[in-house]
Amino acid sequence: MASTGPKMTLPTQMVLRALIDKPDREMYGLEIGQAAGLASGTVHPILARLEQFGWLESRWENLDPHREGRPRRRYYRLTPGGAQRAQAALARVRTPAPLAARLNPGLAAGGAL
Amino acid sequence: MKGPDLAFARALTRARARDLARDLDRACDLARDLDRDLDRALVLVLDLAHARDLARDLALNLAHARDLDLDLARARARDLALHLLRARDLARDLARGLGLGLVHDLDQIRELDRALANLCALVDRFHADLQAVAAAGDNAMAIGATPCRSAHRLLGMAIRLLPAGRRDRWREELTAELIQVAEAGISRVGQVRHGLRVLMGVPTLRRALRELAREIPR
Repeated sequence: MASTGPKMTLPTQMVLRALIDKPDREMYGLEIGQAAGLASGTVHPILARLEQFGWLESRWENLDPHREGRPRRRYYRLTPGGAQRAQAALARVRTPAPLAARLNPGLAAGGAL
Repeated sequence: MKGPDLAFARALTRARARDLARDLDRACDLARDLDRDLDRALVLVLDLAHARDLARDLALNLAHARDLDLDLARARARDLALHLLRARDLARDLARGLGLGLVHDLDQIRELDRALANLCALVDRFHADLQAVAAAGDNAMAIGATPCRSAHRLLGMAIRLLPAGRRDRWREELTAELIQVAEAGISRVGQVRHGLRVLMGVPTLRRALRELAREIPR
């Protein structure tokens, strides 16, 4: 696990805010993208980075793909340490509130999309 | 049995259950009227024989549907066939007695009436079971929505651009999400748009995976 964190780009901040908004809930990539207001193609590289830095942990959905006839989803959630570091990092970057609200009104209002 | 075959078998079974319920209703009415019009006893025998054939068809139909949820309905179909057999035997005895010009036995008619009333209740329950099973099947078919081919192809292209060692994980993850998009009822255009977005994001994902593999050896 690396000691440094990811670059706090605006999409990264939006993903982290979406995850912090529902800390106890595991979400799959598409769901995180919806909550953050980002497209799948943008979310997955961020998830990969956050996971490699140990901020996120992921697991496969608990089902037999052959029996269910569909592939498993990959669920993500913040690790306890990752949640603390994400909170601290978000506090440092201070995205202007009007900008965050414009980019993702649902999240800025504290509600799910 | 899956997909259209199973849906067809269920539709057929539902139609047969409705026919059976209608025939049994008629048979019940006839049995109640027996003491008023004894000639109808022969019609009753025919109706019951028809109902029994329907029940046997139902049991055969259900035996071909390889779905655990149908176990209860199958058991009910077997019960139904047995009860019908008994009711038919009673009706046959009754008709034989009538044909010989004997005075009909009121107790026997009452027993037949009871047997037929039980049968009607059984058919009602059976019909409800089948409706529940069919509803579950329809729901399962909606859940099993498949993404459109173009979106699948775009996803395949995206996955081929990823580092070879990481493809399996991302193939499963991205395919599961595309299926989720299709299940949500998103149009084909929407699915293709999703596939394009994934494809457009792949260079970033690929770069991230490569950089991280160098920075943080797994």
